[in-house]
Amino acid sequence: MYKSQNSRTNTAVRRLMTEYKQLINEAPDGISAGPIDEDNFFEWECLIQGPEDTPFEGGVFPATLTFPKDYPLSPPTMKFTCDMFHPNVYKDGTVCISILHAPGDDPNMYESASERWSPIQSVEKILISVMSMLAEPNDESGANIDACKVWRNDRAEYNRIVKANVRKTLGL
Amino acid sequence: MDEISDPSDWTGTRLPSLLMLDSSLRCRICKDFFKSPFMTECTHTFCSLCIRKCIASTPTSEAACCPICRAPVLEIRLRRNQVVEDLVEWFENGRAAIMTVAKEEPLIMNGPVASAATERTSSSETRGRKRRRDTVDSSTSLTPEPRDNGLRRTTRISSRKVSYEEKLDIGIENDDEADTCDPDEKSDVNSANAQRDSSFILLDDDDKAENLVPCPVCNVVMTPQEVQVHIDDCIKQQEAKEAQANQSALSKSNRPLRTLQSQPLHQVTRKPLQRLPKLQYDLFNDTKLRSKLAELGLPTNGSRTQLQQRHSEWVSLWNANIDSNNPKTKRELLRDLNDWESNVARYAVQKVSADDLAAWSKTHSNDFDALIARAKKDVHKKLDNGQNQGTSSSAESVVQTQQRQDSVPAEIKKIDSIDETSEGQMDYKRDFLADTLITPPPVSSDAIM
Ligand SMILES: [Zn+2]
Ligand SMILES: [Zn+2]
Ligand SMILES: [Zn+2]
Repeated sequence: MYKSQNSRTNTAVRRLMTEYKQLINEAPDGISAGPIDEDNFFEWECLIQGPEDTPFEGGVFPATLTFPKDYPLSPPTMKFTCDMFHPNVYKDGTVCISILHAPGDDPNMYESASERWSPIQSVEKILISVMSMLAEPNDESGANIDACKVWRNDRAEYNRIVKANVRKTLGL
Repeated sequence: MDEISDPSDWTGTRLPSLLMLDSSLRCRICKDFFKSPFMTECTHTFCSLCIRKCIASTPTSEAACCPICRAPVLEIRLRRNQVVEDLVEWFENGRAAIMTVAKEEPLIMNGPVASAATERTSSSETRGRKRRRDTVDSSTSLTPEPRDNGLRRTTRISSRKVSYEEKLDIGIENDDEADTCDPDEKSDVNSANAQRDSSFILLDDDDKAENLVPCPVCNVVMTPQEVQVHIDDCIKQQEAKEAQANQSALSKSNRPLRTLQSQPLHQVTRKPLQRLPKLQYDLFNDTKLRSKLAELGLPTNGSRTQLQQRHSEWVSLWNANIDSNNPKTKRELLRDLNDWESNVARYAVQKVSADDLAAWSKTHSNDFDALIARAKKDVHKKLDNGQNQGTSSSAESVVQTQQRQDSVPAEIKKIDSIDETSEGQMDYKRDFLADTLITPPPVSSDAIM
């Protein structure tokens, strides 16, 4: 597979293959990810388990990762494909978190540079960051204003909506 | 899977400790073994091409920084890391053989020699675990040092499951916290001190001696003010020297290891290679930029953005090629540029024939199923226990309405616009592809380093 012809230049594909292989060999707890179609390594699907002691606990949340052709110089975009009510997730499911923003590409202008994308980040690190984002929303960089308000003002209601989504993702 | 190797290949073998060695010989950007490794001022090492592309991809509004520690990085200050290059070469040469041995059944290796080997492995493993960072980065110091930060490190590592790359990071972080931990750094400091000391002797009568600092480039000691004046010229001189050194390295081959192993030397006599300067694109109008590309033998079609990106990519490819011990011909480089332009610059659907990956994805889909099944079971248990009673259907419908009012976030729009900017196939004229060795590019006065 992937003989010298291609591997000569396709850093992105080689890196994505390596990451995929590592994710399988050393699967981290609670996350799972891989290409949707082996013919296209630039579209992945992933699953994230809801962190314990949060309203997301027990849920398994599917999302897609779309990688740019110059990966890892630029970060992928991540989009939940299930109902996700969270301050840092747009209503269409797109995740807004600093590790997915390249330096100089910060829509919120206050993210610390040290948390942003760098070519040494990886799918695994993104998913772990998103997992901790589920546990601890970042109040300052709101992507879903409604979720921000509910999370800030009515935690019980927030928990209830999230738990309803958890049940929905599991087809209950 | 010989095509994709990675450090995790060592897990589950008889030599799991090689995982860290394997990992530290890889570039953190491409995750492959270093190709023409270059070191930044912050002492992080990357493939020449990887770090050059990384610097080139930094938006002009930002200062380029090290992908690992985010210290500022200047391309002009990159330095070849020859030892790492040799290490990679010899490790790669031996890797398959070592792997075969590492995967052999223990029974085959039951002789006295084998048990000695096993013992050695396990003891080095234990030591590796305790003083992991030292094993990774200091190939020189074998004597155990009295001070040991191992305990703190171990605690930090075991606090949660971390990948080996993160382990390297943790090591680096620790060094930032306590400078003297790194034996490498220590010896650097020592040698710097030694140099400073010798100057102290010369300048002993001079009370200013204590205020003197070494020039970061040539280590000559002077006052901070003098350094500021001197450093620009010094860098230029250093660059000139390096260019010469690179050339002589190519023709002479300064690598005795090869001769020991009686391997063929790369005895290629070439015309001297010169680095391509970066351009300050603001100073070039379209016509000037096109003629610049034509001078370099590159296609001149496409939009302004394409011209700039093509030139910038070419400079990275070219300069990294100069760093290589086996430089490609210009024809091959042009093919690389063409591949880049058709695969990376444009948002093309990637075709990968990946037979070997079929097995992976099977495993993978099982993971998915298992994860879902386990989660469902957990939730059922919870539901049975009578939690989650408060879920109202009104809450769900609220969410659904919100879901319909999707707005396209900025990131998505950006990707789309990338698609649009890159149209038009590159046109590589035949005469550009003449399979000649690379000739030095014209050095222009309007170039800015
Ligand atoms: Zn690299
Ligand atoms: Zn660094
Ligand atoms: Zn100097």
